[in-house]
Amino acid sequence: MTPPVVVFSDVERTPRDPLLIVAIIAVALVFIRALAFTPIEALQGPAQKILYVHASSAFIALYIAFVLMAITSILYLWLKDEKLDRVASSAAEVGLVFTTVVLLTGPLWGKTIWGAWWTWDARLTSTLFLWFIIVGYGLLRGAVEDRGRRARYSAVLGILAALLVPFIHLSVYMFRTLHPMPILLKPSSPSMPPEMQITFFSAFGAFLLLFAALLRVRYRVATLRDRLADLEQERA
Amino acid sequence: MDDAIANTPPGVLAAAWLVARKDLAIEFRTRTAFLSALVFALLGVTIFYFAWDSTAVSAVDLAPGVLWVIFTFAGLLGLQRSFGSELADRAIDGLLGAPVARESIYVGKALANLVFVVGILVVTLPAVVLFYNLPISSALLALAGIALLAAIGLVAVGTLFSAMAVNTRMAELLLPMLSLPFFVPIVMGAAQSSARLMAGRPVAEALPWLRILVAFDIVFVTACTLAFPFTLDE
Amino acid sequence: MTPDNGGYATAAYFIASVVYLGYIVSLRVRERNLRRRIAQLSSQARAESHTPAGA
Repeated sequence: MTPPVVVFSDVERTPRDPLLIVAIIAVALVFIRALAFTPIEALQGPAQKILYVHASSAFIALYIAFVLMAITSILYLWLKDEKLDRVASSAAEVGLVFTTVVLLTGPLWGKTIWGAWWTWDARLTSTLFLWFIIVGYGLLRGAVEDRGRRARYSAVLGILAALLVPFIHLSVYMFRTLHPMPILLKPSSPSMPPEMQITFFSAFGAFLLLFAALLRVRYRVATLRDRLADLEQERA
Repeated sequence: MDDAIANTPPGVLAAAWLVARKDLAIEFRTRTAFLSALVFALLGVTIFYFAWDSTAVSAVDLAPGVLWVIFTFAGLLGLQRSFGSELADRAIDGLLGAPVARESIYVGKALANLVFVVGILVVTLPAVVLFYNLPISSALLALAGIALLAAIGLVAVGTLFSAMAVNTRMAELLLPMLSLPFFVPIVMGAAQSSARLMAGRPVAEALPWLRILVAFDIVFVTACTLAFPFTLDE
Repeated sequence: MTPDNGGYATAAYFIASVVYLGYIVSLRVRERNLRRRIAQLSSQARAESHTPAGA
C-alpha cells in the first residue's frame, strides 16, 4: 500500500521570460540615454525629453495595441477562435497601460510648452477618449460571464471603437482649429539633430519590445485564467 | 397558392416595421418610460438655467450646450427600456423563433427608439426656445433637421449597446459607459452646427459639422446593423 | 535662455517607470497565483481519482 508518488506539477512554475528581461533593460538604457546623454533642446529646455517616452508610448498605444485589438476582433467574429479573443483582450489591457502613460506624461510636457496642464489639444483629447473606450471594453468583459458571449460582445465593441477613433480625431481637430489655443513655445520641429533622432528611434524600439513582451505575458495569463475556469467548472 | 402568399415571411424592412410597431404599442400602453424621460428633459432644461450667471453669459450662447446635453441623457433613459421588455421571460426567444432576418429586429428596435427620442425632442426643443428666449427664426427648421440627424446616430449606437448591456449585471451603468464616447462626435456636430445657425451665422460655417454628423450616421447605422446578429446567442 | 524645467522631465520618466514596472509586477503576481491555484486543483483531482471510493 505505497502512497501515490506526488509529481511536481509543471504548471506551478512560472517560466523564465528572457524577452521581458531584455525589454526592461532596453527601456532602462533608453531612459538613461534620454536623460543623461541626449542634448537639451535650447528653446524648450530639458522638459522636451518627455517626448521620447510620451510619443513612443502614444504611437504604440494607438497604432499597434489598438489596431491589433481591432483586427483580432474582426478575425474572431469570422473565425471564432478563442486565441484571437485572448490576443484582443491582452492588446487592450497592455494598450491601456501605454495610454495611461501617455495621459500622465502629456500634461507634464504640456505645462511647459502651453503653460497649462490641459488645453484640449486634439491628440491628447483623442488619447483620453481612447482610454475611456478601452476601460469600457474592460468593464464590458468583466460584466459578461459566459466566455463565448464575452468574446463576441468584446469583438463588436472593438470593431465599433476602431470606427469611432477617426471621428473623434476629426471632430476634436476641427474643434481645436476653430478655437485656437495659446502656445507659449513651438513644439519640436520635425528636423531633429542626429543624437536626438537616435534616442527617439531607440525609445520607440525599446517600447515596442516592451509591448511585445507584456502582450505575451498577458496572453499567458489569459490562457491560464481560462484553464482555471474550466477546471473549476469540472469540479462544480 | 393563396396559402403560399399568406405564409411568405415579411421582407427585412417590413419585418422591422412590425417589430417597431410592437415595441411602440407596448410603450404607448403604459407611457411611463416616455413621460419620465420627458419630465427629466424638461426639468434638466430648467435646472440648467439656474446653473450659471445669466448676466455673464447670454442665453443664446448657452442654449445649444444645454439642449444637446439634455438630449443625450434623455436619449439614454429611453434606450434603457429598449430591450428590457424582452428580458422578462426570455420573450426575445419568441422574436428569434420568427422567420425574420436578425437585422430586422435591430432596425425595428432602433426605429422604435427613434420615435421615442424624436418624441422627447418635439417637446424639449420648443421648451428650450421658450425658456431661453431664443429668437425664433428660419433656423428652427434647420435645427429640427440637425436634431433628427443626431437622434439617428444616438439611436443607432445606443440600440446595439442596450442589446448587449441588458444581458449583464450592470446594465444601467454599462449602457452610458459604452455609449457616451460614441455620442461625442454627435454632440459636437449637433452643438457646433446648431450654435452657428442660432447665432445667425452663414450656413457654410455649419456645413463641416453637418458633414461629420451625416458621415457618422451612415457609418454607424451600417456597422451596427451588421454587428447586431453577433450579439445574439445562436 | 533655456528654461529650467528639468523637474518635469524627471517627474515624467519617474511616473512612466512606476506605471510600467507596476504593471509588470501585477502581471507576474496574477500569473503566479493562477498557476498555484491550477496546480492545487489538478493535484486534488488526481488525488481523488487515485483514491477508489470507500477505500
